[in-house]
Amino acid sequence: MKGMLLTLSIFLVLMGIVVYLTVIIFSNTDKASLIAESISAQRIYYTWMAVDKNFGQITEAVVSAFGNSTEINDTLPAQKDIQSLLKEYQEFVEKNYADETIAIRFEDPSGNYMNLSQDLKPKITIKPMNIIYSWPDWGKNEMNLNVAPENFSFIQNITILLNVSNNFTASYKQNPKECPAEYCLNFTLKVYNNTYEWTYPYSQLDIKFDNWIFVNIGNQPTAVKVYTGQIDPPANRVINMDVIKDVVIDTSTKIKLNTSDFYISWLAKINVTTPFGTKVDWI
Amino acid sequence: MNKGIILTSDALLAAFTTAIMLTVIVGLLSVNPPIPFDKQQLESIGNDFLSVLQQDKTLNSYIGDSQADSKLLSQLQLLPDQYCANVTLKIYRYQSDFLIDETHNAVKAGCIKGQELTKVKRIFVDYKKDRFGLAEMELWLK
Repeated sequence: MKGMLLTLSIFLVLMGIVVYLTVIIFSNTDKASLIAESISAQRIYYTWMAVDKNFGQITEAVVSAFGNSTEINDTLPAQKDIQSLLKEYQEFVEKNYADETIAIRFEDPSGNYMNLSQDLKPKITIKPMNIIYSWPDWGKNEMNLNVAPENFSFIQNITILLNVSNNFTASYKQNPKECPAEYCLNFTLKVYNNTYEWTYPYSQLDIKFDNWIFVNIGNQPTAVKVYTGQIDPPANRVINMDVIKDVVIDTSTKIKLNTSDFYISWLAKINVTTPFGTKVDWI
Repeated sequence: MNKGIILTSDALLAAFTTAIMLTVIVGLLSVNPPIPFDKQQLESIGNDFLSVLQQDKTLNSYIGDSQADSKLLSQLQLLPDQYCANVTLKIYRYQSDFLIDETHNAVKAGCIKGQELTKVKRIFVDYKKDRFGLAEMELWLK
């Protein structure tokens, strides 16, 4: 009887150890799998961000958004052949950055493979109000900011800074149509170099009507032409900026909206996929 | 005589049961997967390290710089003591295909390459110099 009790208690102790170990192993397997997934998610995120960050450098247009504002830092005209750079960059990403464990693919809004140099349009869109910041081509001699009149009320104000890095003078249309108006643009334009800053004297413009500001840089007359209006279709124009080839200006266009519920996109996506997960998001 | 047989078979049965139990325990211990906390931490540190160097344009500044190896080494020395790392920068130029134009490398001082390496990488571009770069980093614990 004593022997039986002893054997039974040893058996129960051993069974207890087996059950305990089984529980630990299952819990460790879960933890290990969670950590593997977190490593994979991190890898996808960093890869996606790295590609996205390079995009602004290649297009010479760095886009950022914070709260209800968006800022586009743009160099006009383009200093490089952006179309060739896009082609080379895509090839570099696909050949040298992606590998057998991580796939990187550029996609159009419908999810089809995108050839950046051919399919990417030179325009940035603020969605869902469809405020479009665009250039006629990748040469970027001209910049346009357009919006349909029914969406104009989303714009609270626009501030444009032009760094011309040279001596300049400015001229502008006297007595432009001001507010109150159906489409009143709260507008700030500053032109500056290392030593001097000039501010456009009108801060509210009726953009149903044309208006102009010309900047003469160095010995180049009307090197930069800034137009505001006309908002009515088909132009839907808020601002147009035309820059001659022989000057380089760094522009900063800050658009303050009346909502923070928006996103900015080149209307292209980056798809990063590993065996454990995928991140597809707008560039 | 009968008592002896019963006692012996009882002892044999106990020994047999114990042996089976011990085998099961050893078996369970051997399938217990290691939790890769270290790998997760190394991966985070590596990604953050390269991400910061890309975003503040430090990686771009190494392109065409003959002092790049030593500058890279001084960045690596900022890592906490227990972390070891080996960073290689490959700078490419495009001439109908991508050709390696320059390579830079640095290994954190006092580190001998370990067995378990965590690898991370980061792409960077210098459009003004027409160069594409790839930073590859191997990390391990001291």
